[in-house]
Amino acid sequence: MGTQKDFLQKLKKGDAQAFRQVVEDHKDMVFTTAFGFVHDKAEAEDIAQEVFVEVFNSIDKFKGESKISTWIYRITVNKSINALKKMKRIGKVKQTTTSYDPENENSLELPDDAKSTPDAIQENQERREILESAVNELPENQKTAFVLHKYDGLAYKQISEIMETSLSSVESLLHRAKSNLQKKLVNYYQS
Amino acid sequence: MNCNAVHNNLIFYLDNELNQEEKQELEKHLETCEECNNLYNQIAATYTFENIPEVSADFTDNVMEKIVPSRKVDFNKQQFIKFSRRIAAAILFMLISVSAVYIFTQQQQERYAQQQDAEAEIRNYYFADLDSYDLNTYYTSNTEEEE
Repeated sequence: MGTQKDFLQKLKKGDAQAFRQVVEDHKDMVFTTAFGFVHDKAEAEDIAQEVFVEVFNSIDKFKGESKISTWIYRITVNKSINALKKMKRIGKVKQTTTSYDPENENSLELPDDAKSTPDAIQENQERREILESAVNELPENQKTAFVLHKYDGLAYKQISEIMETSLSSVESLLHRAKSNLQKKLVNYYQS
Repeated sequence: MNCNAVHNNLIFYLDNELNQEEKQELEKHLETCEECNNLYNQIAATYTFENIPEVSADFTDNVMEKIVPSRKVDFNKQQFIKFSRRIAAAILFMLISVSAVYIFTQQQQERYAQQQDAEAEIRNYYFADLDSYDLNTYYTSNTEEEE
């Protein structure tokens, strides 16, 4: 497509307006993917910023063989995995080690501001943290496929392009990811 | 479907990935088993992906502030590299030209010296006894005789 080629040429020449358009068009998807990995708004925005800086610095390396969105997704996944590793190293990631206690509403360690919110919000917050911790504990490939599918709502084909793997591998990764999550959630609520 | 099978299929049921028969068996079990039904309600309330925050309104401006100056620097760098390459090419061309001229001149000088040596050798061979005899005089006198 001529227009896509022209647009890419503009990006390669450093056209600020073209860059702005790329950020506008992709910021939500980049942020959502990063959030799916780190589950923290500030961290996800930092990752998203790094992703766009990387996109602009290495636009000359992009040959246009895949969609630009696929390329940006790949950068986002790599940056998110690295950021999550760093967060784990410094102990910023919660684990689902605490089990559910129906008698005790504060069975999970919650931040002080969450404790001051109404019951329903607090309960939602607790549930979100349980899910996030369970997702964080998934192996890297399963987590990537799961985040792209459930948070970004991508089809198996798009995921296979981003992860540069076959459709059957994506199906298998998602099935294993869901089975693992299920075990963790069942164990949590049954214990 | 027993309790264990239900536990292994709750998420797939929520994601609508069970076939019709499995779905009906699971629903039937949930109607009769209070424990599994409670577990299902807990997991159904937890397994949602709706509370994703939105990116900040000033995100694009913040990114552009970071990007545009660095891009300009990159551009200047690229121009500098291009300019340096041209200068290097010009210097290389000049060096090659000067070397070619130098080599040509050397060869000419060498050839001239060889010619001189050859002439001296001939002179020594044929006119060794005519030390003071000038070749030019010999040629000139011979020519005059012939005329």
